[in-house]
Amino acid sequence: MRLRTENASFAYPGKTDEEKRYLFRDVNIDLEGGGIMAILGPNGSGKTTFLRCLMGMRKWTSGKSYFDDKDTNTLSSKEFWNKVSYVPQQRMATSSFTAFESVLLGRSGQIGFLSTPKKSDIEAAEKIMEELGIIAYKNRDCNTLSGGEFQMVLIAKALVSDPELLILDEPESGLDFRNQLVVLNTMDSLKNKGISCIFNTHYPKHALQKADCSLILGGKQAYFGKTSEIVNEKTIEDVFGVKAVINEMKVNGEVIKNIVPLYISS
Amino acid sequence: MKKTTIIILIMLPIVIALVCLCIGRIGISPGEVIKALTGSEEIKGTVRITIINVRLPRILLGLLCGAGLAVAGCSFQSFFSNPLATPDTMGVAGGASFGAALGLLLGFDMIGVQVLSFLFGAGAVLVTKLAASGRNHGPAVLIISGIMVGSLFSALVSLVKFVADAETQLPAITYWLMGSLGSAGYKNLAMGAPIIIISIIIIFLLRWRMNLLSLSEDELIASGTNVKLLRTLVVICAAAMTSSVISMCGQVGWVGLIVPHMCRMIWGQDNKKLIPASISIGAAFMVIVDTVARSISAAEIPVSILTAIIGAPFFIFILTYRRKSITGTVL
Repeated sequence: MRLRTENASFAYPGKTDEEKRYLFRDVNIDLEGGGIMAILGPNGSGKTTFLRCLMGMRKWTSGKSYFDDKDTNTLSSKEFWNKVSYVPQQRMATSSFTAFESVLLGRSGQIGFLSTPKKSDIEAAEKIMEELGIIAYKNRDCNTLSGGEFQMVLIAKALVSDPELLILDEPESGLDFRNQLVVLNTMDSLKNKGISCIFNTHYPKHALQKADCSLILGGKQAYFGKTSEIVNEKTIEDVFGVKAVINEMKVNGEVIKNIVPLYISS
Repeated sequence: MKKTTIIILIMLPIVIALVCLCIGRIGISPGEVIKALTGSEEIKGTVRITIINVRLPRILLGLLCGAGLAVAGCSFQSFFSNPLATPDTMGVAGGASFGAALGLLLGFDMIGVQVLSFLFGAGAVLVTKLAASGRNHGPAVLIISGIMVGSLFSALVSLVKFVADAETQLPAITYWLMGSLGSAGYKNLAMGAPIIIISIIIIFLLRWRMNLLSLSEDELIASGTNVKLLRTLVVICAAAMTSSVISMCGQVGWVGLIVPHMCRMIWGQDNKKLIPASISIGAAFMVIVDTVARSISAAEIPVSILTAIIGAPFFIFILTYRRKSITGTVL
């Protein structure tokens, strides 16, 4: 799996170049198999739009993206979605399918148009729910699940199709302390299996702790690179207008980074 | 679904149909019914004619229309991702009625009436869908749009009646509109049945995939499914079934709401189970209600009166008590 963008830009329409309001400009990312990438940026900086363009739900204003070195515009939606899965920004369930029925919907790419789930599909759904530790509420209605439980159902639904890349839109937002960790650890274990993850986040700390590389939108320029190199006090101040300190602590011989905001600087 | 459930669902409409063949102005014993159906010579002519030429086509029509309306209800509920979407609340029944009434006024044959009915029925869905499109509408806006479209078409039906010849056409249109399976004959059946049966088969095959339509637009794209094709097939089949039923037996309302929701209470929201269950329960329900309508009093009561008496309170019941559990959202 390799995902690249080349000078990817998105602007709200305008007649002249000056009238166009650019959300982001000339973004170049390069993500290769088995890595975790975080996208940071203030509200309205275009994090979700970037993801939606990446997935072909919106068009780049200019620039291109390549999946496995093929221009994503030339890929059929089936080719793309056979290898990529999407976990939308968490919302309340709008239908009362059971958790299991919801997860099974993730197999639609493997099931013929006029067909229904086969034994192998049902087993795949049970297996992934088991792995994610949510098999206990298999038969519960989705709209009776808590936010954390429902998020894990959405992740299971995305993973049941055996993707190479998982794209998550603010997966840990609105979750409690423990459930945030459950979601982040899930991404870690996917990485160990060679599945790449891209996630939007409001927490620079989560990028520092989990992401191999990061993209920061909303500043004078877009920053992309190794998280350890680009998520630092300077870029945070440039993008968020917040003076923050990043510190390190050693726990059981492991270095853990943390970030603490001090004051609003601009 | 368990095997026993499947067997029960298959047997239910058959048993109900056999029982209802016995019931009517002349009581006929089950033994005689079976003999008449198998073409045994021991049966008196009048009994045979009653069974084969009067009751059987009517019961077949009931089975077909009940199944068709119930499946159309499920399909509209998926298409609009709204549990209260039905042919009646989406204005489809109104549009299809107007088309059929117009066909009758113009003296079209059964096929022409069905085609016109389908065109206006499908047109009504599109208008409702367009009127309620836009991002931030709640589910209630859709129902209101549907009711408005329906009332527009009911005004147009009145216009047709007003223009119709009071001596010949008006009574025919009025009686047909009231909704009755009384017109059943093999000739009528032969023209309406194929459309309903083909539509039911297509929806049956698509039943699991229809579940996807409850997802958000982005999730639909991410499913990699050809969503346009899916939506088009579902809505065309649903409109075709509705207008075919209406062409044959007038505006028999509410079946598309009552039956799917009875099934949802038992089998949940998964269309994989819901569609087969609705076919079976819908067919049985319609035959029972029609048998009551034709045998409760000396003069036949239009079946639509009975379905509305059951349906309207049922709608309020769902709106009040089941809304949260079905939709997870407040309308």
